[in-house]
Amino acid sequence: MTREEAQAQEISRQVEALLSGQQDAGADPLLDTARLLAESAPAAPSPVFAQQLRRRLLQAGSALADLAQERRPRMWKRFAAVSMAAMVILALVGVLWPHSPSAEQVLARAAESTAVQPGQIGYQVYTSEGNLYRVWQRFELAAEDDLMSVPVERMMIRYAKDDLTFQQPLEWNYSGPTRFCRLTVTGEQDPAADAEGCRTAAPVANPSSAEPGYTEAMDPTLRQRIAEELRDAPDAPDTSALETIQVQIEQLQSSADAVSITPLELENGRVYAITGSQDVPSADAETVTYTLYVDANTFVPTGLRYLMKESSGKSATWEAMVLDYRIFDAGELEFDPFAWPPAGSP
Amino acid sequence: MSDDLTDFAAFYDTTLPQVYRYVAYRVADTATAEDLTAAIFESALHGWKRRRKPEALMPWLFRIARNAVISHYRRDGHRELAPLEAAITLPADAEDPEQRLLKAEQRQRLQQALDRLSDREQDLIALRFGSGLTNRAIAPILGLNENHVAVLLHRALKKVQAALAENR
Repeated sequence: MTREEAQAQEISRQVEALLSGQQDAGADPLLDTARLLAESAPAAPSPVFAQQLRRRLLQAGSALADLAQERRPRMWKRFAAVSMAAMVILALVGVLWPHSPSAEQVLARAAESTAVQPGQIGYQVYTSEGNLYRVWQRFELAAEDDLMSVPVERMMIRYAKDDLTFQQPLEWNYSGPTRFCRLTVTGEQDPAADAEGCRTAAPVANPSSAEPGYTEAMDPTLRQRIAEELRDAPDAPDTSALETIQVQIEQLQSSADAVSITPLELENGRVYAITGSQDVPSADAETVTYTLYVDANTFVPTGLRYLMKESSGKSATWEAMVLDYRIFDAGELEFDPFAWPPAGSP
Repeated sequence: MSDDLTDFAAFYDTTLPQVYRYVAYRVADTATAEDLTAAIFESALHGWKRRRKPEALMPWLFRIARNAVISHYRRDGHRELAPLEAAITLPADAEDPEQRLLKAEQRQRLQQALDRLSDREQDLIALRFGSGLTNRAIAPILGLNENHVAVLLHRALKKVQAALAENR
């Protein structure tokens, strides 16, 4: 057990004592912070709210049960028909896809194929929303989590969707622990940026968040504000498809019981389409369905489709098609993909 | 009432305070906390038929709750700090106005400190100090082991402590 783990165990023990009402929970100064957090805990739900919600849920539950009861006789007839159809489909799938893996297996392989070790550099090319993107990302170990690699430096170059040989960049974006930069081919520039299109911020003085290579070295509030301004700018850079894909793999893995897998034969080869729905309850009953396409041979994700529907009928779709994806060790590259200003920029 | 619904009602009675207090810790106002809590249990009711092992029920419910909070922020943008005037009305206990003002200011400083944590750290704080769940109960909700929860809690407390010291 490391020193930090031992300290963590001790403070956890003291917090437990504090929350169970012990007066002499401990003497660690962190316990004062814990006490403040405990004192700020919200009150319990009001009895009126609890009762009304209980009644509403039980009524809804009874209505669901009645509906199921009504459907039951018809269900038997349907069951026979559906069973026959399912057997035929299974037989066909068995012939065409003799070794179809489960969604869980494909997701595990996809997670392996996109895993990046600290110090490595990820490269991807993808299309989304009528644009083509080339993205370089350098990964480091997250300060808050010993097991996770996080991107700490990113260069994203945007092209027109049909510019597959990368002839004419339209926009360059760089982000690092203390610097955000953006240049466009039209020369449009962020008024608050320097001559090279960059905004810089000093690292936070707080030593606990200034561990090597981690993005939290910048004041998170400032970082968020700059990122939002960049995102809201005209021709704002898109989310990195790979990062989104990694998050979606995790989401699909955590809800594996509600995930379906369909083998597909596309123009560029066989893929598995893995579809899941996310529980995102809200007042307007929003549902999110996402489909991850994974190459059946390499298990590298090749695309992501993200569909959000609201009860009002509105829907929004985000799609990304991955054209190339590679991982490099830093020493393998003979050039610096994060050099700023980038070659060829105005 | 069917056995299923009776089971669900018992589950609701047991878990409502914990879920509500987690949500209320993560969002700015009572009305939003109530709306989200209602939506979480409606979603749980719809998924109730799919049988789960008893030990998997709490992690499942809190995953729905975490997704509800994420979805809320995705739709409505980042957390807005409760204005000071609103915060002043929050403490229910009868104290003199000066005490209440001090408490409200303290609460606002704490909120600013919490906003500097990552989403996962904020979840952890809300689960530990809002819902009162133990590290062992939190581990499957966050997909971590118990030791890892302790380390993250330790680091989150240090960050809050440092942020409070900066704002003093």
